Amino acid sequence: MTVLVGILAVAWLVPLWLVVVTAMKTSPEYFHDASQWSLPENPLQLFANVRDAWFTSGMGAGFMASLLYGVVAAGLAILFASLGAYSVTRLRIRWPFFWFVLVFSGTIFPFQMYLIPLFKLYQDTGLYDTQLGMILFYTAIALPFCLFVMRGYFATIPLELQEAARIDGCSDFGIFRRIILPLSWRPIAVLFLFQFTWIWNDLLFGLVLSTSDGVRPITPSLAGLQGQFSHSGPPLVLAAALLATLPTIVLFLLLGRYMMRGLTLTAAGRAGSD
Amino acid sequence: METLTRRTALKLGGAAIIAGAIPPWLLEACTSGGGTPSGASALQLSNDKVTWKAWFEQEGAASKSAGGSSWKLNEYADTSTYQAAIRTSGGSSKVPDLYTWWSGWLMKEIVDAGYAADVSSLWDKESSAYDKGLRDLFTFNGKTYGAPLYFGPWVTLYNKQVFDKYQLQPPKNWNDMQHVLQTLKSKGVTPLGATIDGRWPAFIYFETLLVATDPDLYTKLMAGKAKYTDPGVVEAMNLWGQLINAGYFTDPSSVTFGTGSSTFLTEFSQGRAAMLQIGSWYEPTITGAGMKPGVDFGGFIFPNAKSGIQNSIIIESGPLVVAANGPHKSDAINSLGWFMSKAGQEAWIKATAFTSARSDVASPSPIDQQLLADMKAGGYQQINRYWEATPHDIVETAIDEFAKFMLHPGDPMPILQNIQKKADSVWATIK
Amino acid sequence: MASDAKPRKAKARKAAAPEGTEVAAEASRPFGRLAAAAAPYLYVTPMVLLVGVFLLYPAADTMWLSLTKWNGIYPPTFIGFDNYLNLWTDPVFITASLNTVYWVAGVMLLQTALGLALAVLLNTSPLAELYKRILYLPAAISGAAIGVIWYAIFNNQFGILNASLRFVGLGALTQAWLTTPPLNTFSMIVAAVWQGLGPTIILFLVGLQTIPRDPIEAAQTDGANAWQVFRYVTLPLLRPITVVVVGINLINSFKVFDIIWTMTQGGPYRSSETLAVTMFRDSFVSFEFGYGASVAMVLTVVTFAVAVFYIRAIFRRLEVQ
Repeated sequence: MTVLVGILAVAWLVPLWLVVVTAMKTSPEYFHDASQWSLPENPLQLFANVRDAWFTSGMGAGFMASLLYGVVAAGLAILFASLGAYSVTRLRIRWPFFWFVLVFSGTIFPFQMYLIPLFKLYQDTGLYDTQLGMILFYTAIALPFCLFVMRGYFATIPLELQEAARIDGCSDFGIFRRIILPLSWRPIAVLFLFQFTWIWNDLLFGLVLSTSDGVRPITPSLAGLQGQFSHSGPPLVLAAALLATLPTIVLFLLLGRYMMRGLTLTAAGRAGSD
Repeated sequence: METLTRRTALKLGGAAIIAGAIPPWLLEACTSGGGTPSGASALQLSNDKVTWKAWFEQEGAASKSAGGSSWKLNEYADTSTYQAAIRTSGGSSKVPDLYTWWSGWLMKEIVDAGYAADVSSLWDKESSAYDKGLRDLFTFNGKTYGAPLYFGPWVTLYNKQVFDKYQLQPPKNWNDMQHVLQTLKSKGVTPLGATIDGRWPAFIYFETLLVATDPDLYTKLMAGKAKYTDPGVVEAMNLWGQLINAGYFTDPSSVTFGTGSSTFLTEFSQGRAAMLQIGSWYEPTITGAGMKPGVDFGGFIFPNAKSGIQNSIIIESGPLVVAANGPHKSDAINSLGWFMSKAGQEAWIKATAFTSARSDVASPSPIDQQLLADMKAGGYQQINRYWEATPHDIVETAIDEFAKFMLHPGDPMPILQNIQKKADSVWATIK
Repeated sequence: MASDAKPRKAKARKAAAPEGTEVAAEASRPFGRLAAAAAPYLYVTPMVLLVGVFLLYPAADTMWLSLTKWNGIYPPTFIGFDNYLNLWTDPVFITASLNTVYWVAGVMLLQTALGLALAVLLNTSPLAELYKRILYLPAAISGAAIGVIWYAIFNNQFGILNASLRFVGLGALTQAWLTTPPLNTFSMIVAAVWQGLGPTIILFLVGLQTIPRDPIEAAQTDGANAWQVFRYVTLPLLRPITVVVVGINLINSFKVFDIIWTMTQGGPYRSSETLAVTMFRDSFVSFEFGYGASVAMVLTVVTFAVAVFYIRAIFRRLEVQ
């Protein structure tokens, strides 16, 4: 049984191994090698390739831009979703289900539905090709899922905690800030991981809503390297792909622990189970 | 109201963070009412050729030192997005001063909508240096609307070492060609590269073989004055089918010649595939794989499959267009005029190593030099490639049908009928 | 003091809290009452605004677009339901719909079943932490990169899969994985599952680790074998998590785009398109935005129906708890 899983794990990694091996070669070397599996002559070529990739097609600027978008938009989405979830579950708001569905419906439409009108909207309002525009969109698209998770999580926080705090004189917002939010650090960490990864890996919207270096995120920049008019060989393109993949993997290695322990989401039932 | 104050503070703080990220020029645009910086007018040049950035920059600098305007670049990473951006902004003042586009029928929409400025006067001035066939690519109703950004005659590139190994010469006629094909095949080398990856390459051998058997029919077909089901077209398709069945092509479902995961280059550089029919703009890609032009690989014009027809060669060229509604139209036209001039083209060809479109500017690649000389000596007429030569809706249907044929060669009639059906409906809306 | 109906909330708070708290003080001032009643709505305002402007408005606009003919250059012309009528006779639409069904069924079944199986395996494995990380890794990679990687595996002549088959003497089993419909769709589903399996496994693992032990032990004491315990005790207890997993996979499988676009671009000859791909292609490649919008609408209606049904089920479960 363990052996089976072991084999599976190795098989899982094979494609990635291929990417790394190729990114360690130079272009002429790649085309002259007998097979894709041949080991590179100089593994340190990887750093040269990554450095070249950084300066080509706006990869470096895209890296920084995606970092900005991932952190800010994920953070804002979690914040706004938490506020909304709090109101829908714990405050006396009319039609809580309606507000929930209204925001959640943002996740139901296939992304292509947003594409063209957003493109038009952005062009007309001057949001096109701006960092503000990108942040606004990424926040909006991250909101529905964050609301879904936070709502489910808040619903499982025992009412007694809230009542106790209220007796102590806490205002609604105080309860939110001092009790609800801190208790929710696990789903927040999970959401941050998911949303940051999604934003980082987004191709479609980064492609359509931005274009210049510094605004355009990293994944569209990577796509640009693949194009027909590009003269970069596979080693450079795959080195760029590695560069593009690095942060999400690092984030996963750091936050993965929290995610795997605390991902109770909604229906599993209990808050903060360990 | 402690509650409201705290939340408001949070929101203000958040807004401050976001505001810090707004690029300064946007703020300027909001406050000063937008517009370009005053003083020397830098022309905005939009394009979708991300990896040409350095070349554009060099050319813009050269333009400036020649006394003209400099170029400010706006690169789009994705072709579809780029096209959507130009299409939707072309009529407004947000359009760039200059932009790259595609020739022929892909340009017609832009011209009909009034998005491109008439630059016939520039061509008239330089008429001796450019081939008329090239000008036709950008001409509509007698007026010309763009300058050639790049020029790519379609050439058969071949691996010289493989040819030398089997004592083969570049073929001058169809008999030679068949000899080359058969010899290579018998020695275990795949003669011609073919792919369906990327969708568009499926038309390559269709146009090549049709032009090699009946170029007049090709021209008529592109203009809707002939049908895909005409005997001449069927004959070309049958020829194609014969070649496929004889095993002269690489497996189109496996081979790619893009750059991300190009497999053709590996096959080509290691001598397992010998030739590729492609635009001359592909040469730098092969050079990038470690083969030297003229030494390791060469080029020849695909020989006619029938005798007695007009020598014809497929060419490809994309225009640099001046936006009709651009903010600095006259400056842009002047800049384009400089670009078309000998000085402008010398700087451009030097930077890009493309094939030169001007007869008085030499092409750096020995293959291109030979190619242009052969074209001149043989009196070759230049014909636009399929992608731009006929309405694009027909092309989109056709490349899918050609892909089907490449994967399952057989009776071409059903495929040709499908394409003709689409062609009929498209031409009906145009006429 | 408030005597009218509106500030029910303020009254309730006042009743719950002793005198002298800031809440009571707040509720006694007229502006305070209004603010207290309006406060919950202010909490939802940012998210509603953002989603409304950037997601819902564009979606509504696309609905409108689907009733028009627009090529991006000239203003849209209203053509009523013509786009939808044309869909029914469009062979590509039929193929794409069928492929979408394959994707939804394939991802749901494969990912859920495999995810559950692997989670069960891992639950008792000593190296679980390590394997979890490895199995999740592909989910951190973009769909575009996944497409590139798996293209290198499935390529007919040079791909790893066929090369390996030939290497071990099973050359007869080689296929044109990406150019034979409908095999090409199934191949891409495999790539998508490789990517999506990680989160599914994690979710199931959490589920397995949070279900109560007692029913399981009771069943084992009663003499049930491992399979029976799993089938009749564990599985039902896992129901809440399973519903979540299935729901997420369901909705996401409708949207797949990056992987398909980078592996086959919906080809060859449009045979592997799904509705999401068709919509993009009609809009951004053929510049028939109205027609593309109608495809998007069809996809949306189906996804929406499925999603609403799913949410209701979840919501009801929560309210019960």
